[in-house]
Amino acid sequence: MKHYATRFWVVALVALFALPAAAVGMGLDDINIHGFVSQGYIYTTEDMDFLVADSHEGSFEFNEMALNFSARPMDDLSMGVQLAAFDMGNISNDEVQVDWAFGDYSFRDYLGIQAGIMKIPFGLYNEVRKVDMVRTSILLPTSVYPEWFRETFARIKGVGLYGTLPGNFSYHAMYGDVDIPTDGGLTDGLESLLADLGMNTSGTEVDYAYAGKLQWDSPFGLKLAASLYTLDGLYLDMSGTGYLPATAPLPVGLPLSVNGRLEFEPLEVYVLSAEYIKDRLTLAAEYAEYELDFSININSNLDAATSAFLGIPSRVGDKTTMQGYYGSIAYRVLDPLEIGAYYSETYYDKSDHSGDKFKAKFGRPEYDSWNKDICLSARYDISPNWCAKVEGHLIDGAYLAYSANARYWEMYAAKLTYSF
Amino acid sequence: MTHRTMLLPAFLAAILGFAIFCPVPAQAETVYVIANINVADGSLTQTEIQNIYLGKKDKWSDNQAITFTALAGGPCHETFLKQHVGRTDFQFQNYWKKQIFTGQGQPPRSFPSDAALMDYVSRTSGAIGYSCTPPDSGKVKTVPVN
Repeated sequence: MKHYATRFWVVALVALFALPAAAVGMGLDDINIHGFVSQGYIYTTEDMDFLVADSHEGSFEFNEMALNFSARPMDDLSMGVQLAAFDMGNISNDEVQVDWAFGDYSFRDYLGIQAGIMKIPFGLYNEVRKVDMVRTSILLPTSVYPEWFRETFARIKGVGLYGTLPGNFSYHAMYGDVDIPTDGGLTDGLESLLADLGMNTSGTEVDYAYAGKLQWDSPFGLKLAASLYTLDGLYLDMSGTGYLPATAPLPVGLPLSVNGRLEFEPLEVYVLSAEYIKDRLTLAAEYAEYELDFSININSNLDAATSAFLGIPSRVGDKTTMQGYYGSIAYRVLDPLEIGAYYSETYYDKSDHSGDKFKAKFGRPEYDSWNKDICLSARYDISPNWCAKVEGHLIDGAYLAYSANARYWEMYAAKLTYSF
Repeated sequence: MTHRTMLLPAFLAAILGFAIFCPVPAQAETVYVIANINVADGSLTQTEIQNIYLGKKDKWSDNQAITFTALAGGPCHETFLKQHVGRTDFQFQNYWKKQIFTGQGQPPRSFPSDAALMDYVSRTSGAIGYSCTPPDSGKVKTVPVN
């Protein structure tokens, strides 16, 4: 069904292009075409897996690509579509999707309207998460841009308003719907919490979402911004089937099926951002909080007493404020060479930096509740179209890692990108 | 753990060392901001020029669409970006790549020389550009920057 929906949108948008283009006598020369391909490699030490399953063995399942078409059939009207695909281990697997596709009418500098599928304006880098060549580092700081949530934060299907106000304040707000993939990072992460029950996501639903960003650009290179993103009515339908273990006091081979609807209270996230650019130097810092309140009532084919005896919980959930922040620096040493660094901290619970409450609640080591990351990067622009990057991470903590075998570990990545 | 805790400060010191002891050489070019003769605005503020070249201002005061142009590279281009947009050429290119790949806009049309740029601005209603060659006041108007 998702493939048909994708095809429909692509055909509809091409038609949307062609009609006004034909009406005003546009030709192919009036259509701008751009694209990029990025291929990366990631390796983690201490048998840790992060971002990509089996990254401890080294993995090339780490790439992005996109192709976009845009045109301006009239002075105030523009439209475009971008098709994109990415692979991050088991997530997405290069499935082509409509990354954005919208029409934009600019009434005045202080007011423009957009409609369609739009990238969510959030923080300094959310809209360009997949676009490797616009930043120094390969991986964005997990504290503000956790890859778990990449697709959840990608795009809204709806309407948006934007503009620049007196005092050089700019705003961008949007409202609509969000498609959460059943095989994405968010569902993957939540399924890992219920790994003992073997539950997978069969469906997702969101009632509505809205996002907004307010930014001030000073005349001396400083940019300050505040962003907010809310998902309301987020549900995941989950189910799993298996067989009871032989040690149970029940016959071997007895099927066990569990299901439930994982519900979120409104998922609210905000980010405060600052960036300073002076000649070849770029400094940035961001702070984010994620309000997470979710629960699932678990139903099984066994009676309540047997379920309890077997340790199958009737309800799983938690309420927490995830917290993250980072500071970064980048400097273009030579025309083709830029080096950068960032330090990032992420905590599952902003009131539990020690991890003691986390350990008491989940029975896992304290360091599973945080991720502290020192990243050092180097970028070399081979030509205007090609860039190559390498980077290393020294990490303390296993939060958001696939496995939790060690507290201190390292991650190395390399990436090559072609863009036009 | 000593090497971990010292690594980041050492790297930061190296970056700041480059920033302090390898400054960007001073630019000696005089840049003229020029516009098509029929453009309504008689002058522009620094912020307005910056917003034009970052795609945030796309209309003149009489609501005519702005067509903004740039040089493909060179000292004049670098000086204009530093003085009026607050970015290096790389940062400017990066900014427009973000806009392109989020659907928020297209970069300025670029020209290989002052002469080619001035010719385009003179023929294109609502166009703005810049040059380090003194402009011909009969073809384009020089826009003072406040």
